[in-house]
Amino acid sequence: MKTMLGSGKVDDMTSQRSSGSIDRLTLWQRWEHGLMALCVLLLILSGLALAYHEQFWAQFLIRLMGGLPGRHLVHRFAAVGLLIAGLLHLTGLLFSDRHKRDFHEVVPRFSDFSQAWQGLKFSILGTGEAPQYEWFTPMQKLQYWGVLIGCLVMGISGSLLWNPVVTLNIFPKWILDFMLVLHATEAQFIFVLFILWHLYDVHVAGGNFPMNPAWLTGTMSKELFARQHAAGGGTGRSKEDE
Amino acid sequence: MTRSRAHSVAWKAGLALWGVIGFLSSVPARAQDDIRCLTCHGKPGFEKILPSGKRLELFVDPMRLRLSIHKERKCVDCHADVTEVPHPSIPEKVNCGRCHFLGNEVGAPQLERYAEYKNSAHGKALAEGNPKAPVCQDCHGDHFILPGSDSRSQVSHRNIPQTCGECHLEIYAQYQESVHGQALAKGVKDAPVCTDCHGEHNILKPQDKTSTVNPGTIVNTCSRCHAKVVIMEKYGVKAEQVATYRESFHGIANEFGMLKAANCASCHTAHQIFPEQDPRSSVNSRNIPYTCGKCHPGANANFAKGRIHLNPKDKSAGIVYWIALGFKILTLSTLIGLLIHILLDLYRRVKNRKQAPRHDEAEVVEKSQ
Repeated sequence: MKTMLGSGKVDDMTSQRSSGSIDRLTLWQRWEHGLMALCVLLLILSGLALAYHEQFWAQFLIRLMGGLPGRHLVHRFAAVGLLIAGLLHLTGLLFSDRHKRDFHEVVPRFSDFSQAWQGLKFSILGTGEAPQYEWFTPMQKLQYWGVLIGCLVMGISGSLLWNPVVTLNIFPKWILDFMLVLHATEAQFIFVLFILWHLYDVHVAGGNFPMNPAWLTGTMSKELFARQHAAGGGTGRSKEDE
Repeated sequence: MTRSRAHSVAWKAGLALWGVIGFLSSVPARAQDDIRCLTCHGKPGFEKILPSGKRLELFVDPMRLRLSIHKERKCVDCHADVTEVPHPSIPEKVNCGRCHFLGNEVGAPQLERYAEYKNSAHGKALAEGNPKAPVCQDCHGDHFILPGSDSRSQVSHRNIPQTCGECHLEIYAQYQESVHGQALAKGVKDAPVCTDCHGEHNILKPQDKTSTVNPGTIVNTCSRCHAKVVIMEKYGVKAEQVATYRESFHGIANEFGMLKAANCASCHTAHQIFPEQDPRSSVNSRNIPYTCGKCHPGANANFAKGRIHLNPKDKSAGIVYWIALGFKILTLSTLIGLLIHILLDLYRRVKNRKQAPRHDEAEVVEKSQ
C-alpha cells in the first residue's frame, strides 16, 4: 500500500530528477487512471451505441455486447467501475501525503489564467516567452476538474436513469427527461474533449508523440517535463513545497 | 286495296316479330337460364326454417343480382351442384375457388391475395374445421357482390367495420366509439378501418410474428399513417410521435426485438383509441398511472408529470430543449475550437522544425541545465 501510494517525500523526486526522470504518478494513481480509462472507454462505446442505435456501427457494437440487455449490463458494470475508481481516488487522498500534495497542486490559481493565455500564444502563435508552469499545467488542472465535475453530473444523472420506475416514484417525469438529455448530450461533449483534447495532449502535443509514458511507468523524462512544464527553468513543484 | 292492306299487315307483323326477337335477344342469357331458379327464389319471403330453428332466407332479389359484379353469371355457374329443378337436396355452399383460381378460363380475377386466405387466421380456422370461420361470401356477400371501390359493397372502406363486426361484435363496438371509428362515421377517408391495420386476405393472429399487428411490426403499421405529415396535419396530430417513440427507450428496445417493451398499442390500446384530452383515453393524464402500471407496477401520478412523446429538438420541450441546445452549441464550438487548436499546433511545430531543425530540443536542454 505504502509503495503504491508513494512515500510522499520530496527527496524521492529530487533523487529521480537527478537520474534523468521525473516521478509523476504513483502506482496507485496509475491503477486509478487505468481503471478509469477502461471504464470511460466502455461507457463511451456502450453509450454511443445506444445514442446512435440506428447506425450500422452502433448496431454492430450492440450485437457485440450481446444485444440491448448486454449493452445495458456493460454500461452499468463500467459505471460501477468508474465509481470504484473515484473511491480509489478518495482513499489515496485520505491516506497519502503525496496524493494530498498533488491535490494541493491541482487547485486552480489566478496565475493559471494568464499562464494559459501566455502558453497558448507561445505554442500556437509562436510569440512571447514560454510560461513557467508548475507541477500541473493550467490545461491539466482544467482537465482534472472537468473530469471530476463531468463524472459527478454523469454519475448523478446516470443513477437516476438506472431504474426509471424508482426515479419516477420520487420525481416527476420531466426530471427524468431532463436527466436523459443531460446524460446523452454531455456524454457527447465529454467524448469530443476526450479525443481531441486529452488524447491529443498526451499522445501528440508538446513532444509527447507517440505518448507520454507517465500513465504506464509513472515517470517521464526530465527533458520532457522541463519542456512542458517549466520551459523557462521552473522547478515543477510550487514554491511552498520546495 | 286488299293487296296493299295485306302488304301493310305483313309489314307490321314483320316489324313486330323483329321487335320481339330483338327484345328477347336483348335479355341477358343469364336471366333466361335463371328464370327457372327465380320461379321459387325470386319470390319475396321465400325462406326455410332450419332444424336449428334458424331462419334461412332463400329469396334472391333479381334486381340486386343484376347490379352485382356477377351479373353475367348464371345461377348454376356458382351453384354447380344444382343439376335439376327443383333440386332434391340442399345445395352445397358455393366454392368461389371454382372460378377464382390462377389461369381460369372465364377471366375471374385471380391475384395472390386470394391464395393468402389459406394461410390467414380465418383460412386456418376453416381448415381446422371451425364452423364459425368466415369464407369469401361472409365478407364479400353472396348475390350482391360489388367491387370494393363501390360504396355499396360490403368490403368498401366505409362498410368494412360493419362487415367484420358481424362476427367481431365487441371490437366493432369499441372501434365505433374510438377516434378512428368516429372519423369514419364523419366520412373521413383517411380514417383507418379494420383491414388497414390487420390486412385483408392475409389477416394473421397478433401472436404471429409476421402479423401486421404483432408487437414487432405494429409500429410500422401505425407509422404508415402516423408518420406522414400530409395526413396527420389535417387532424392536428403530430407526425413526429413516431420518431420520438423510436428514439425512446421503449422504441429502441422494440427495434432490438425486446417485444415486452411498450409499443403504440400498449399505451394507446388497439381499438379504444381516444384523443389524449378525452377522459376515456388510456393516455389521458388521469389514466396514465393505470396504463403505465400495466407494465410498471407501482406507477404513480409522477408518470403523468411531463410529456411522453418528448422531442428535445422542439422548443415546447422547455428545459429539456434548452439543455439539449446548450450542449449542442457547447460541443460544436468546442469541437471546432479544438480542431483549430490542433491544426495551429501542428502547423507551428512543422514551421519551427523547418526554420530551425531541433531548435526546440536544443533550447530545452540548454535551459534545463
